[in-house]
Amino acid sequence: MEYKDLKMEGYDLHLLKTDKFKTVNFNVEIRFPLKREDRFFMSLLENVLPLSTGYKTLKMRNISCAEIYDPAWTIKSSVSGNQSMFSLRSSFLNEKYTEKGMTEKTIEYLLKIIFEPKTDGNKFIEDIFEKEKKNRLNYLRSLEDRPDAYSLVRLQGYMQVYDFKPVTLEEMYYKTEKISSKMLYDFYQKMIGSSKFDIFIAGDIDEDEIIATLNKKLKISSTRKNSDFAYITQKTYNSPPHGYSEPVPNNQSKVLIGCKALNLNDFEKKYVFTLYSWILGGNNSLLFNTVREEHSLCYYIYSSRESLTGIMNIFAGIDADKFDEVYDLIEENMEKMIKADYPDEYLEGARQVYYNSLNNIEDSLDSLTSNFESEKLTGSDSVDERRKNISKVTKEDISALAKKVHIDTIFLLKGEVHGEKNI
Amino acid sequence: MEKKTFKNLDLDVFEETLPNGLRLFLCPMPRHEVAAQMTVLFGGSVLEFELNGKDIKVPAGIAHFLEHKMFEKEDGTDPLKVYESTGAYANAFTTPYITAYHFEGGDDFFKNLKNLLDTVHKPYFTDENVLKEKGIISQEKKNTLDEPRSVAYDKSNENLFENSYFKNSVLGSLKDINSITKEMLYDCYNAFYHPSNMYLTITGGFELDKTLDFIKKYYEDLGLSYQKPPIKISKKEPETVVREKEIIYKNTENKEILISYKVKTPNENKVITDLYFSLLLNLKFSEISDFPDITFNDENIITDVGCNFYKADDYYIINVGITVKEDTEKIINLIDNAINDKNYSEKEFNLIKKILLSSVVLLTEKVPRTRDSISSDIYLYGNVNYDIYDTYKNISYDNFKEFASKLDFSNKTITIVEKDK
Repeated sequence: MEYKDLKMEGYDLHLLKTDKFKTVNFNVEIRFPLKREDRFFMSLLENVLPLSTGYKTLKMRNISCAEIYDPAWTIKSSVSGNQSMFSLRSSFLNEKYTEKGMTEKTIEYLLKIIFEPKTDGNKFIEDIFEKEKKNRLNYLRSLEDRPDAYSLVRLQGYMQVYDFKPVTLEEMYYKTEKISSKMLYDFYQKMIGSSKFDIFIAGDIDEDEIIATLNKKLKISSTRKNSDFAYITQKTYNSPPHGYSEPVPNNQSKVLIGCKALNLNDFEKKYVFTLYSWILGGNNSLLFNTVREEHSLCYYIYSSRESLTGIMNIFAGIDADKFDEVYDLIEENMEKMIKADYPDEYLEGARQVYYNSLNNIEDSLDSLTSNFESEKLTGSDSVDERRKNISKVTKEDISALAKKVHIDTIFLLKGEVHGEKNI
Repeated sequence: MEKKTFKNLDLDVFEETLPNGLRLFLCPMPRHEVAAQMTVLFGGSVLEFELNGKDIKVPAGIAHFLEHKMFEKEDGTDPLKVYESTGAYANAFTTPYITAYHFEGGDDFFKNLKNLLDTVHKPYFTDENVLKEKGIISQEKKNTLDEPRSVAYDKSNENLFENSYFKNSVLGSLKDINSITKEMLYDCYNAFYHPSNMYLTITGGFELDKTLDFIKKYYEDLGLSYQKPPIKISKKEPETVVREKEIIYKNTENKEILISYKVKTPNENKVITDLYFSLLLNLKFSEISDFPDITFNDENIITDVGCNFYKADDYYIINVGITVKEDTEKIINLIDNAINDKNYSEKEFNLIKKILLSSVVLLTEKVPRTRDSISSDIYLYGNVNYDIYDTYKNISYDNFKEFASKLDFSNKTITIVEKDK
């Protein structure tokens, strides 16, 4: 395995050479400072860009893709700490399993998607833009048909995480409706002209060939920016927690509990919070073993931590009339975390899961690439440092962190149908 | 052990059958991770069987219920905790054909392997722990009752089959779940959870000889001898569907359409038949078909077309689903005309072959995916398809066309989930 970081014109190139896999990963990461208004544009741009490829029809675009052995690719926008991220991530077969020249052709195909959209002067092509905007609005309008996704968007609309007001589903709909093809193209131009660019390529690659291809096919006019990545630190929370409930004619109710971990230090953010969330709401956790296994109140209950923001959400699907019982059990278990009132095996199990995930990084090109990216983009420690640091976390550390975790927002999608009578 | 090789894919598998009938498929790969799966040939579509000369009928959902209960042990051991103590991830699942228990881990492989074998060979069912599980599984079921797609899928199966047990959902109804007893679970366990009705697949970074010795020793100590696999009783299923169309009213913003075709199984090699159906559905509905442009340009259509196929007794079932705002008839006709159109382009056929060949190479790239691919070959075809690369590469357009020309798509059921007026 050989890692290399190269300063190119307008971007940083990160190469990971390994002959262990049959695939090659090619990711373009575009980063810029997080702003509230950008959220409305980014979600739409991630859908419009793949359609603005210059092929007359989608069928023609997809046939071109099939001709180069169907590389898998996605365009996604996301938030990473204090930054917005716009990414193209792809994976394709090594030439050994296809044909000579396919790597170059594939990289050319992918770069065109993100850097050479077909436009109508200074705007995206109106027809494509309007159709995709309608699709996006339809998606938002019909989110309620997917209760899990809908509940999460609702919780996010109520919970203050960044230093700006949270975005509600209604606002996302309303603001998306107002965007024109010119406005979106202006946003795209601004993003391309002022962001930090990183390109990651991993697999059994020929460095000289790759660099020659990139030099030939990629011209980034923006000067190379420095990274100003930072974690988001939570400083306040709602006391008492804010609660919201919405009735729906569903069989099952969804409970989402948004928690904030306040003022975490670097070690806590990277290590202690990880183990805390796993012990409380992982696969074989306190919540799983009490709410599901002992009390038979749900099929799923788990917690999910956002390490870059200090947020942890708890999710469960329950009967509406059992909400109080479930909530009390969640509070009880969070209290146990403060008092370190759980068997040592929970901590050791969580630690083993972490070790195992580190050990397995080298087994998949995707995890190797994503590990490489998190070291370069968000300042993750190296695998060896992580192994060393996680071994140092004690029950006392977890207890100290547990005192800083507070329930902030509760959302209940309240199902008001019982049984299968409605079908 | 017999060494077999996936041709053109740089991968070997070692096969062995133990005296008790357990089939082993061991595939060392240069990785740290190990993935293992014990597959039991007992799934959600088996609701009647013969045990000790007695005909036994059980409620729908029992294979899935049994899967949950196998994690309960008399000595209080929690298999999930054992896995977690080594850092491994573990789970289980039930399909209409099989129940499978699996783990993916790195360290303490033999501890995990013993745990996997203990999980499937040491049942402990009590009235109390069965009652407890009903609450959990009922919640799992309720989750599906609120999803328009799963509602449509379950209803479609009911309307496709007159007699076949495939008409029942793998989870069963809430009523079925509540009717299950510990005695029923033991009947199913005794009939199906025997080495001769199971197989074990292991892929990744493990030592071959040591692993084989460990498994042999485990079964010697357990003392299970060969037992004839149980007789699953199935019923004769007519070619026609039970109901051609049904509309279900629910609280939903859009209209969910599912068209399910019931096609008599063509008399061909199963691997080839599955490949032909893959090619057919890709040609009709994949990214290189006309549908991405149709769905993108029609404001009435909310989602892309989704499709799959599976084998149910003597039939192939082809499901085609789509979400629209209104005018369901127009879309149904569009899909129906597409599937009945017997014109194919050779150029597109060759492109689909390219796509499928890429997916074949990817089957052997990741440890869990390789395990899953080997495991599904066995329950679908009886053996691992080591020639898969060549099979896909050499498939002929003319043979495909001849196959497709004989297919009859006239038996179908249409399910629509829409808002109550």
